[in-house]
Amino acid sequence: MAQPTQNHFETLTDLAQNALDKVSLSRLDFNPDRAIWEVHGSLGEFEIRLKEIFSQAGRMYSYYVIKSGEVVVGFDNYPDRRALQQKYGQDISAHLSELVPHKHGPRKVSLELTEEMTVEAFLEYLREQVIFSC
Amino acid sequence: MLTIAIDNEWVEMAQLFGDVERIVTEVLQAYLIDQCQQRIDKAAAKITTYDQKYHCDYETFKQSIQTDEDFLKRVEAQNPLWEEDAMEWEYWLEEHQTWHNQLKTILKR
Repeated sequence: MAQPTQNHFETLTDLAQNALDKVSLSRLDFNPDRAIWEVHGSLGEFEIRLKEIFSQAGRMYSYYVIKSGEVVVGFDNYPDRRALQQKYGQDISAHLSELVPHKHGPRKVSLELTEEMTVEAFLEYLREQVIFSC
Repeated sequence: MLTIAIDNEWVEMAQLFGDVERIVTEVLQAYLIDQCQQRIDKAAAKITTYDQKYHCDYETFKQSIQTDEDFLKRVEAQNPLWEEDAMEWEYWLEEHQTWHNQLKTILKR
């Protein structure tokens, strides 16, 4: 797949800086084949963690809201067992490498499948949630 | 074959040690080997960090997280953001393999 440029990650960082407080670019590594971008920030008492990885597997992402060390809500597409089972039933053996967009609820007790998420969509999601704007 | 401009001063100094073309080729090869090795070492260090954190290699981790409910619960209890690690672990393995292959190609020439 085509890899993003440095400009792409600068745009993501700008988006995060406009939407979050105390933003720090935790990591930015990229080469022609792979890239990692990771930003941490906050919204009031909530810690926001954003991570994107581009590799041969495609675009992997992890966008999480944390409070007091516990997950409040999180979006990622790692092919974990519960997401695969929700999508394919009990026999997930043929899909173990497939990226599966999903959302974790508070303390990761619940999980639901979602459309693929982006940084822009996640930050928009945060804006729509009253709890994060307090 | 690419032609590259090199300052005369460097060429004259290189001539003190033999054939300039051979020297440039050897120096370039040594530089590329060093760069590949640096990337391999960096990736290996990252991989080791995750191997130690989760007490297994990535293949075992991924298989367990996808097939063993108890393993998943244990990991999640200790590190609710394990997906961040898993993604990056995979990234560094890919990075390690890529530069290892590049190094092998250089050494074969």
